[in-house]
Amino acid sequence: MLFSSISFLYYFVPILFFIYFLVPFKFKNFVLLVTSLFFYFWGEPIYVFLMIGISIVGYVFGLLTDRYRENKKLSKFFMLFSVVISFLTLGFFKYADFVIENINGIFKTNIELLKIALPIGISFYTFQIASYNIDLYRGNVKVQKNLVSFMTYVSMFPQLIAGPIVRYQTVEKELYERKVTVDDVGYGIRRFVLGLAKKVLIANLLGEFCDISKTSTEQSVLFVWTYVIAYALHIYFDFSGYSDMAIGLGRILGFHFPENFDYPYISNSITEFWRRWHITLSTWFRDYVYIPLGGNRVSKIKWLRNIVVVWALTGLWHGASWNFVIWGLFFAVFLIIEKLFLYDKLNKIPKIFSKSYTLILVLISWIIFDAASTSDIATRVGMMFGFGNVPFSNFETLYYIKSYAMIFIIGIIGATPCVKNIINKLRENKVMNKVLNVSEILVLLLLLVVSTAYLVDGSFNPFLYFRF
Amino acid sequence: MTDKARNISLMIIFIFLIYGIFFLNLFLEDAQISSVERRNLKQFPSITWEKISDGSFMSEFDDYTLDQFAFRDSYRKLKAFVAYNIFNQSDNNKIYIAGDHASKYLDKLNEGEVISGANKFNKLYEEYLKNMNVYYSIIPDKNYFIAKENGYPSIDYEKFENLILSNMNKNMTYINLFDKLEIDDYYKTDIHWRQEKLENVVEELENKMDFESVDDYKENILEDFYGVYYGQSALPLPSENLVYCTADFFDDVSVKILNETTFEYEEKSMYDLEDYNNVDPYDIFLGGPKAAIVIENKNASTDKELIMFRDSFGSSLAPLLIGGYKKITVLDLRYIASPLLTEEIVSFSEGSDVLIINCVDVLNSSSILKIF
Repeated sequence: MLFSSISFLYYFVPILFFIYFLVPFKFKNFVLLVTSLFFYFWGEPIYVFLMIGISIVGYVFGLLTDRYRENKKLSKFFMLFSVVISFLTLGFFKYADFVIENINGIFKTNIELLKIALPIGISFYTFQIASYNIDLYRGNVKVQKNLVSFMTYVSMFPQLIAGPIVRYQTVEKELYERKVTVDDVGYGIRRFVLGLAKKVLIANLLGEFCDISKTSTEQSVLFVWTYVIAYALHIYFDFSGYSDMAIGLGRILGFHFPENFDYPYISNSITEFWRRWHITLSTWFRDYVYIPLGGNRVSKIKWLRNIVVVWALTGLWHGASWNFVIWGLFFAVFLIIEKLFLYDKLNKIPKIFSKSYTLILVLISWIIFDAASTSDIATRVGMMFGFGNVPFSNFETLYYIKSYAMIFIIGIIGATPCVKNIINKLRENKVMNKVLNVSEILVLLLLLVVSTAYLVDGSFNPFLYFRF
Repeated sequence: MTDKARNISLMIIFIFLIYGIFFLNLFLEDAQISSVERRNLKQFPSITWEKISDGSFMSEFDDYTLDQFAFRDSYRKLKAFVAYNIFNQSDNNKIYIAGDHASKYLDKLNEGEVISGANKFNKLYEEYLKNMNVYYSIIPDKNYFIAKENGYPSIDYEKFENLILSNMNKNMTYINLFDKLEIDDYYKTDIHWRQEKLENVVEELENKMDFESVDDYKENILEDFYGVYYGQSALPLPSENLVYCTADFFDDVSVKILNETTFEYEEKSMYDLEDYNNVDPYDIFLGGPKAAIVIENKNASTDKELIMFRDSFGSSLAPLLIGGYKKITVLDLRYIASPLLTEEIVSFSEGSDVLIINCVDVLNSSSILKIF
């Protein structure tokens, strides 16, 4: 089920909220679990059992890890067993065909592809279960003895299928005790409606532009540039919109989920970009891969190896295809360059240069990310810089740029903290704060109604991060 | 307003809206059709274990909630308003307004489809039409007249025409209609041409195909015609008058339409006013796009017969041609497959005229033509 769907907004949400807020606290986790399983079942009627199975493995081996804590080796074995099960499951469903394709390609074999459908959200919930087992082993969290509470954590619908990756320690206390205040609900509604509008009114429309541009037979340099700008904004508003909705829903239900985005396109370096983009994923890799490998407290060679490993895995996490690996390694190269000597220089030069440097690299990275093949990467990047034997512009390019100009403008402004900063400044004045509070209600109401109108009318509504 | 008051207001409004729509959707009776969009609306899907396990129930339910959303048309209008006036988009779902005409732009010339369409007609020629006088024509869509000059994407019509001409069997004669029409020969809110404006088209066909039709028609007006683009654009476009032409000799003209279930012809009138209430009011012309129709002019001064392979545009053209023929068999190969064109359906008599006439949209997606 999609957050940005009529069935979710006007059927699932009212029924869930009615039951959730009606039952006493001791039943709330159970209600949340049942509704979350139903939410997942709606999109994955068969694979819901896979998720339940892996969750039970994580739960049972969590108990065993804790039970045999005195025996370090056994405890570690139980932790590793669960983590391996999670990653083997992820590997099988996500990467089996990728591996077979490569074996066939290298050894000229003809092994038949398994053609298994990727279970929605598997990359997110397997990471959450693994983080619980590792944190439990490390003693960072207490064991969860209640199966309902544990499965509520894993399957909680707001963050189940597209993040943010919520670690057990983030919601550990709230699984036992949480309060929902009017302020929480107000905040949750604001985040949810803003996220919905980001997804429906900006990401979807820019996604249309990307589709038009990619499939157009009338290519031009300008069309490729606008496509990559549109794609950068599209993926940002799509994913951050989803995260906003998840955070908002979580808050209404009494949970405080971590932030996942912090205006990444204003970054002055690639290092900073990854502190602002998909924060929960990069911190996951930092804490569970980079640091265990030794982080930067090892020899220079090993340190560079660690960066390459982490970013190859980050790329691979996004999809079973070489372009994702190249995408990850592309960032690894620039992160290494920055760490070795460029980072300090970027902080000293005028911001316009450091921001331009970051933006151009990020834009090129999105071409790699969205490429259908490795040759497609070279073709598109070549076209961007005038090597594609296409005109600078043409009639079709100008038509679509004109037609989507307002969405681009809104998207570009919305990708920066300008509006937020202006509002925060205005709120310092008490009278203005009151005026803004009234305006905010009207704007949110309007956004909800207009987003609903776009959903009722439209058909273009896929979430990008569902495939990850 | 304090922050607390804002949050309370927000909560109340949100609850009111979500639950208001929930109950409206729950209790309002489901509509069967959307007259503005001209389509049947999705109904509550049947529930079976198979459909649940393969997920089809869920996707059908999602479609159902979209189609049966309370005040759906108002939301669609709001979306169109926002697209045009707030986001300043040039079109809404590819539909644009140029002057007082609405049209859906066509930006992709599907060369493969066009060539395949021509080859399909060549196959038809080889199979059925060899000893007949075969003519073919392309009906330009509205975009030909208004797209480019108003800054909207458009296909290369010259290339389109050349693709057809260079691939069609040379034994078939092309009749160019591109310069016989202009934008006001089409309905403002619809894809179709206006029957009363086809004088130039009929004259060109008469000249090239060597027949003489009647040109003394009475124009009959039906009010409140909203074309297909009215519903699709969801914009407040004004209604038009639909005009259909009649002549005195129509009293001696019979129309029979093939029942696609029994495969037998059944009597029908040239213009059935009840069809004006159909999902597509353009159905008033020969009942709309039907697989096969036979029009017979009992008092015709000629024995000439015409077989017309057409799309929905042909429905309004055929009545204007019957004055020059004894019999016209109108065939729509989107609804009947070519192997089914048996003697009972149509007789391909030697020396008869054949007119293959389709609009640009159909030729640009010729896979819908069932010529095998």
